[in-house]
Amino acid sequence: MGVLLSVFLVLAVCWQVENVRLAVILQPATFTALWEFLRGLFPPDLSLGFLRIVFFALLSTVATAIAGTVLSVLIAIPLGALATPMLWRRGILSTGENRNWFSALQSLGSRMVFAFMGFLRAVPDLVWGLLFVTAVGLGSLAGALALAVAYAGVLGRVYADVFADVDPRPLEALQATGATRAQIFLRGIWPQALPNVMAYTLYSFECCVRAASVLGFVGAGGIGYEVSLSMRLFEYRQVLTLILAFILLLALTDIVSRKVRSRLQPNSTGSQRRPWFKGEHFARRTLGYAAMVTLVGASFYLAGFSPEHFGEANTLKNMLRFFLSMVPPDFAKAFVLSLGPLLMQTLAISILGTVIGIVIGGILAIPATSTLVLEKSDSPGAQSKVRRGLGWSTYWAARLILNILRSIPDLVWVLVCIVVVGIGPFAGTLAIGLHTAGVLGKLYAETLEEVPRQPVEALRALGAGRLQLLAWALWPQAKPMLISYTVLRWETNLRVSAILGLVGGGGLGQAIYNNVQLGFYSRLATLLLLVYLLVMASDWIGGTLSRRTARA
Amino acid sequence: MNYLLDAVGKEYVARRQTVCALQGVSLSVQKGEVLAVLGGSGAGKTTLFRLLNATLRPTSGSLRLDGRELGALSSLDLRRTRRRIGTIYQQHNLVPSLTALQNTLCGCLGRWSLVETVRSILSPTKADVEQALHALELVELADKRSARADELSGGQQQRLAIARMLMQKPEVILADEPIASLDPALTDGIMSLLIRVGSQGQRTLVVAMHKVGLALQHFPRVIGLRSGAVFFDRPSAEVDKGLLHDLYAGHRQEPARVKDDDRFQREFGCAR
Repeated sequence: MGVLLSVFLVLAVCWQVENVRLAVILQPATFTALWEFLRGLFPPDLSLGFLRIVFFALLSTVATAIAGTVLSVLIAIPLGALATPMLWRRGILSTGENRNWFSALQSLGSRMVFAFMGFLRAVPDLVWGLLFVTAVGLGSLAGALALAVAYAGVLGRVYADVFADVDPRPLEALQATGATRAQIFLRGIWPQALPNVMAYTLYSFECCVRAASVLGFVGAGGIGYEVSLSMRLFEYRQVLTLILAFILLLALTDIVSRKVRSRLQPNSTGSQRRPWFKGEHFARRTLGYAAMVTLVGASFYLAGFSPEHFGEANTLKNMLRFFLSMVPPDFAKAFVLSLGPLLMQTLAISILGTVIGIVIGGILAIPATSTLVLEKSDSPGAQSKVRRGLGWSTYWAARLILNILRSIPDLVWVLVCIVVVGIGPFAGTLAIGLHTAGVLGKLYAETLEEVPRQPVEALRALGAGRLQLLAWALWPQAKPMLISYTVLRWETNLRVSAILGLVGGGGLGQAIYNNVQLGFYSRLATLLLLVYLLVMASDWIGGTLSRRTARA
Repeated sequence: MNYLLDAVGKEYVARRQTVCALQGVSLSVQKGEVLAVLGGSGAGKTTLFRLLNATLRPTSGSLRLDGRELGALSSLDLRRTRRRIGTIYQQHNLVPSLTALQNTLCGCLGRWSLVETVRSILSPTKADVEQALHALELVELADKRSARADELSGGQQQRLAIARMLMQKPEVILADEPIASLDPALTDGIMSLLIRVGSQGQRTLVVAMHKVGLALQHFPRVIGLRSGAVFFDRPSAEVDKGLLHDLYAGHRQEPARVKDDDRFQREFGCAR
C-alpha cells in the first residue's frame, strides 16, 4: 500500500514539474498533425539521387562505427588492465608483495583509472558527439572520436571485469616463476580472457553502429545527420527511406555479428575438409588479415582520419584548446541554482516516460507472448481455423508493433513527437515512453515465454484460461525478472532524458545544447559534472532497487 | 638455496575471524636437501609452500632465504628469488587456453624481458622450443605439444606442470601433492624423475604428499605438520607407526572442508 501511495505521489509531482497537458494529446489539432505527418511519410523517397545519398550515409555510418570501435578497444585494453584490482591492489598476487609508498601509489592510480572510466561512461555518447563536433568541426571524424571515448569507458570497465574474473591459480603459478605483472597479464590473464573480450567487443561494435547512426543529430555525420536534415526540411518521405535504411543496417549488423560469433565459438571448428592446396590455411589466414587491415584502414579514411585533418588543419590543437577552455567549471551560485528545475525536469521525464513505456509495453506484451495466444497444433479438441488464424495474427501484429517501437531510436522518436506535440519536455516524455514500450514489451514477452513450463502445463491441464495462466503461472514466476528489467530500463532512460534536450526534448540536454551554442564552455563543464553525478546516482539507486527486489 | 624458518606464523582473516594457518614453524633446509612433508588436509602444507616460494609473507616470525630476510627483499629481488624456486601446484595451475608447449614456455618468464615475452608469443626462438620439447619428452607429453591445457586429463596436466617447472631450471623444487592425480603406473616414474632432477645440480626438493609409504621409501627426511605446527621433523628411519597415527588421527577437523574456490577467497580475501 505504501509503495502504491509513493508511486502516485511521485507521478503527481512529475506531472506538475513537467506541466503535462493531457488535453494536448486529445485535441483535434494534434490528431491532424499526426495524420499529416503519417501521410507525409508515404511513399518513401526511392529516387536514384536520394538513394545515392542514403548509400553514402550508411557507408560513413559503418566507417564511423568501425573506426570508433577500433580506437575504443585500443584505449580500453590498457585502461582495463590498469583498473584490474587483482594486478595492482588486492588478491592472490599481492599477498607476497612489498607494501610501501610505491605499491600504495599503484593502488591509488588503479582506482583513479577506474573512476576515470566511470566518467567517460557516464557522459552520454551524444554529448561526447556534441563536444567533439565543437572541437573538430562537423562530420564523422567527431563521431568516431566520440564513440572512441565513450566506448573506451564502457569497454574498459567490462575488460577490467573480465580480467578480474579469470582463474587466479595459473597467475599465482606464473608469479611464482618470477614473472612480472606485464608478463602475468600477457601470458596468464589475456589468454584466459580472450574469448570474453572478443564477445564483448563484438557486442560493443553493435552498440557503436546504433550510436553512430544517432550521433548525426548533433552534426557528427552519418545517417542521423541526413535524418535531422530531412526532418528540418519537412521531407518526411526521405525520413521514411532513411529509417528503413537504418533498420536494414541494424539487421545486417545483427547477421554479420551472429556469423562472427558462431566463428568464435571454440567448439565449432567447422567442417574438417581437406585443404585445396598446400598452405591453404596460411593463405586464407593472410588473406583474412589483409582484408581486415584494408577494412579498418578504409574505415578510418572514410571517417575523416585523413592526413590533411591531422597534419595541416590543427585538429589536435583545436581539440586541446576546446577542452582546456572547459576548466575551471562555472560554479557561480545563480547558475548552479538555475540547474535545479532542469534536473527535476530530467528526472520527471525519465520517470513518466518509463511509466508510459511500462503501460503500453505491458499491454502489448500479452498478445506477444506465444504461450498465451498461440494454440499448439497438437492440442486436442475441435480446432477452428479461424481462431488459430486470429491467434497468429494478433501475435505477429503485436510483435511487429513492438519491433517498430523498439528499432526506431529514442532520439528519432523525439523528432517525431516534436512534430506532433511541439518542442518541450512533453515530446521527450512521449518519445521515451514509446521507445521504452518497444524495448520492455519485447523483454516482457520473452521473459513470460521463458518461464519454466511445468506449472503452466499443470494449470492448463486443470482447465485454466489464458488470463488465469497469466496471473497464476506466468506472472509469479517472471515477476523478479520483469521488475529488474524495468529498473534497468529506468536507469537507461534517466541517461537518455539527460540528452533529449539536444534535439528539443527538454531537460538538462537543452541547457547543454544552449551553452555549447553560446560558447559558455565553463558552464558546459558544470553541466557535464551534473550529468555525471546524475548517472552515478542512478547507478546507485538502480543497484539498490534491484538488490531489494531480488531479496523480496 | 638455504631456508631458515624461525617461529614462522601465518594468520588470515576469514569472516571477521582470525584463523591461524601456521604457528611457530621453525625449520632449516639446506641446499640440495630432499625431504617430504606429511600431514592431513588443513594441516598447513599449502600455506607453508606459498611461504617457501615467496608468494606469501608470514605474519610473524622470520623466514630467511640464503640468509636474507624475505620481508626485506625489494620487489626486484623478490622476483629474482622466485625465479630460483620452482613450484608444482596441487591444482596444477596451468593456463587453460594455452597449448602444452606454450604452458611449458611459461617457465621461462622469470628470465625473459618483456620484449622477449612478446616475441615468444608471436614466434618463440628455436632454442626455447627445443628446450621445451625436451622437457615435455621427459614427462612423456611430447605428442600433446599442441593440445590445449584444458583438453588434457588430470594426470597429463600434472605432468605438464612438472614440465613447466623443468623449463624454469630452478634451484629449489616445491611439489604440492605431485602424484595425487597420477595413476599407479606413472607414480613411480614421476617420483623418480623428480628425485633424479633434484639430485642433478644439488637441487633442494620439498614434496608434500599423502602417501606415507612412498614418502618413507623415497625421502631421507620427513616433516609432519599438524594443525599448522611442526609435529615431528626427523629422518625417515625414525618415523614409526605410532607417530604417523598421531599425526593423522589427532589432526584438526578442517572447518567443513570447503571448496577450493572458497578456500582461495578466504585465504587471500580476494573475490574471484
